[in-house]
Amino acid sequence: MTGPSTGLFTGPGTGPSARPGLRRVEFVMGTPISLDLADDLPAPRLAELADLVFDWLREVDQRFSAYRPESEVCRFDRGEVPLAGASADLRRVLADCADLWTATDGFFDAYATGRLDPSGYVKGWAAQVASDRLVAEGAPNHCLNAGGDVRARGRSSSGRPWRIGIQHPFDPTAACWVLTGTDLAVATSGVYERGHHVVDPRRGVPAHGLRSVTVVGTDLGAADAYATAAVAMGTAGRGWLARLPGYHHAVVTDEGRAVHSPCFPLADRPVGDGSVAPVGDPAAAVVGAPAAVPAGGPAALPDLRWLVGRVQ
Amino acid sequence: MRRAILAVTGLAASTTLLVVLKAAPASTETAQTGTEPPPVVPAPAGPGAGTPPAPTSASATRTPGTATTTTRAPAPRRSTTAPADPRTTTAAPSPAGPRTYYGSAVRTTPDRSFGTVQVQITVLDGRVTDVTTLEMPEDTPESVRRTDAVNRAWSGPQGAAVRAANTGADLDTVSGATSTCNAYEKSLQAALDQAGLR
Repeated sequence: MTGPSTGLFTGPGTGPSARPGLRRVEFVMGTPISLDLADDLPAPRLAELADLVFDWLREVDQRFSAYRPESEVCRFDRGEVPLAGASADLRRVLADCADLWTATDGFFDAYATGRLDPSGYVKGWAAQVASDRLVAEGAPNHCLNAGGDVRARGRSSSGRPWRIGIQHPFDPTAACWVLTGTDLAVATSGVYERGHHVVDPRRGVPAHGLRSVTVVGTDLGAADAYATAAVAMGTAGRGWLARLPGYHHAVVTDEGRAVHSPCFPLADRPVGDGSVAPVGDPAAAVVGAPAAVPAGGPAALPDLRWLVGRVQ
Repeated sequence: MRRAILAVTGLAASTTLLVVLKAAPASTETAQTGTEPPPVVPAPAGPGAGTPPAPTSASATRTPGTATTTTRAPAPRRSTTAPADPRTTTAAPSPAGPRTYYGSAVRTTPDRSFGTVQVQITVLDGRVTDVTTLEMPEDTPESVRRTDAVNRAWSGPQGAAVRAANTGADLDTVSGATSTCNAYEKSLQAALDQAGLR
């Protein structure tokens, strides 16, 4: 095993099916985070890089959690730390959240709960920073999945571009799209996993209309915030997403209609040949799928969340 | 040494299952249109751009000889007792027939349910043909009810776990709404590792 870790399964692959690289899963920020390092580097170096990533994520959790009274975010919120005395990271996050509040017309609001809670941005931002650091450290081929928000760069250890499934909001065992690319930030926000937990900040009620929103770009923090904002907007979120420069999107509505923007980086069909869809392929234009709601309703499978197992 | 687990990663309960089985040698020929849900799934037509849901051999080659018990094969332990000796995979019998692998015993979160989850999988020709639970929480009547519901839907040769394990063969990871990780998937992933599948 590679170093101290609370990960579920860690370590480089060995044996006949071994691929270069390392994968590790740890439970940080209340969510499982997986790292797939695909560069063919010595095992100790890979472990070092993985430690770098997870140490950073744990540090972010300590400093930016809105649920830890001693975190910098909470101390700032209580007025115990002046803005001038805040860390550069916190000031960066606060500035980004302010920009996103403007960009989303107020639908992304770090103060939506009445107190400062930037966690809707911090997870994606932290993963983005970690990914940037990996590039700087000479590991440009990696995929980091922070609780469903994905930053994928370069190629997987199979040598092909990363392939990222988008979870089907009505069928947890299915993917409704497959994306592929060598430089993707993919964030999905939805109301299917934890119920209607995205609140329309203007009405103060749970948002309805969009069951799942996926935003693809190159900055994971922004993609995450945009996806969350679009869910909060409800049906109007689709039009707003379409005007967002530099980002592609796909949504599944409450009625089960699935649509995506023309340049959504879909894997070419048939899935499995490893090819890459041409960006901007007009044939991949907006698609209105027939109702994707299963006959048994959205909750066709029993909820497994009661079985949640914490990493020991 | 087992492979690291991509699958258990930040994915929804079952999304996790989507990616667990990957690149098994025998699975290339059954590479699926990942944009389509498994054919057996009751419903959702994938939003593919007019791609017809081509029939695939998704739901695993089923073996005549494969055990198809759907619940707690060997005498189930009450999980309120500490799992003294979680079963571990030991031998590799004949390479031809179906083989059985055990997942790790995963403790559940005490505030939800008090118990342990352990699954067992049956593998034939690089495909999962059956998933059964050896142990599930049964500490309260509510746990028993939920355990039964989970087993009905997820376990068994036609359960969701088998479909999922054989479906996501081609994905590196899955993007989805924030979710929690799950004891069932963790144990299943460990079993897939034992089997040399991922």
